[in-house]
Amino acid sequence: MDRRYGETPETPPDGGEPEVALVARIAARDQQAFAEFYVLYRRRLARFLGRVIASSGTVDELINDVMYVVWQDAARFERRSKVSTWVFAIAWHKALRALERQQRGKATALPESEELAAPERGALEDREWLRRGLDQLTPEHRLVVELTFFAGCSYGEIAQIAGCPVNTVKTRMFHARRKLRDILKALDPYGPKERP
Amino acid sequence: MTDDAALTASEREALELLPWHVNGTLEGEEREQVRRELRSSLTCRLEYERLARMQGLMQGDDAEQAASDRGFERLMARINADGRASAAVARQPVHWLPLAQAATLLVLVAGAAWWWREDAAIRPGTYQTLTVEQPAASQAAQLRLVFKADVTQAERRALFAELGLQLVGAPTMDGIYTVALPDDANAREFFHRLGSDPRVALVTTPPEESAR
Repeated sequence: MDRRYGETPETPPDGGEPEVALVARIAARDQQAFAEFYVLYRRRLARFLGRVIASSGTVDELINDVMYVVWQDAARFERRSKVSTWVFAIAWHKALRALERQQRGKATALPESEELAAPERGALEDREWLRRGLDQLTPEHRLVVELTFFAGCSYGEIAQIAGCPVNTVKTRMFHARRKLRDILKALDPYGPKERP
Repeated sequence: MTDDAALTASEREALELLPWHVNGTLEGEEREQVRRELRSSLTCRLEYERLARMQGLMQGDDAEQAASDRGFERLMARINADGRASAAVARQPVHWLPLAQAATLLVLVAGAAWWWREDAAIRPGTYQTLTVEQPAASQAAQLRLVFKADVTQAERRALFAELGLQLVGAPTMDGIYTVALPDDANAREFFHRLGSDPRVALVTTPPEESAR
């Protein structure tokens, strides 16, 4: 398959990024460079894949699937995107495939309501409460939220990773925030302390 | 997000862009537009605070599972296995494959018979693992070391370069590095040299080296 993960002709070249040098060494079959790259991305990918697919059992396998593509395709990386954009695009592609496999095994539909019910707050810490709220989003919406707030991606980079137009990214973020409305309100530092 | 129908068009645009202002990736005119609205619109300001709080929580959420330390070994085993398989296929035209397999079998049988007659006890004990095919450097003597906590990655690489050490695989989650010494290196000398280096907290021999 001649797929350029996350790379589009519009993307400006990314000069001086240390990871670019690592990818070049990986393309030359330098296993030490590959080990460094693996260590560099392992945690980020574990977090990203774990949050997007929410299935801990397959995360380790998916990380290796992603890294396998990095090893195989390093010579084809043309620096038309940041290395991280390229890697996350591969990861998203692999996550989608895993989600499809998961969905085939389940008949349950995703919730259709415009606004999701906020999880019971109780004694939950803000972080856990937010995490449970995010778990209720669709994978596409979670992707946009994760890449924005955890990975620090611009909307243009997210569009490359997700393989969709920029406006779609903005729309998905809009809907994700709408669905998280109650959770976001509860995170308001000036808001009431009693939560729903 | 707000339900306020009285929002101006500029406020709506700023609200749409806020997540990327919060994460610092907004540029140019869009960034200026959001800044202007943040100065004048309480709705935008409140939403900014919520999103900033959300970002803080997400970035501080360190409870994700870490991939297992054996992951890299498994990956390299897969890559090396694929490499051997594809190299074998590339070398042999498909229609010669059955003949080649038969010939290989004959050679193996003949070799095994010859080996059986030899006195194996006087041969050096060479063997290969069934897991990861290590780079050539790993055939040399190896040491394991742990750096002091304040030693940076650059300083670690500098030490490897100074002594001609090759990193064997990825460091463990505990920060244990396995390094291969240069060919013909005196392992004992390297052991003492690393042990007295101010950057190194601990040096030891790998379990298999200790057993020899």
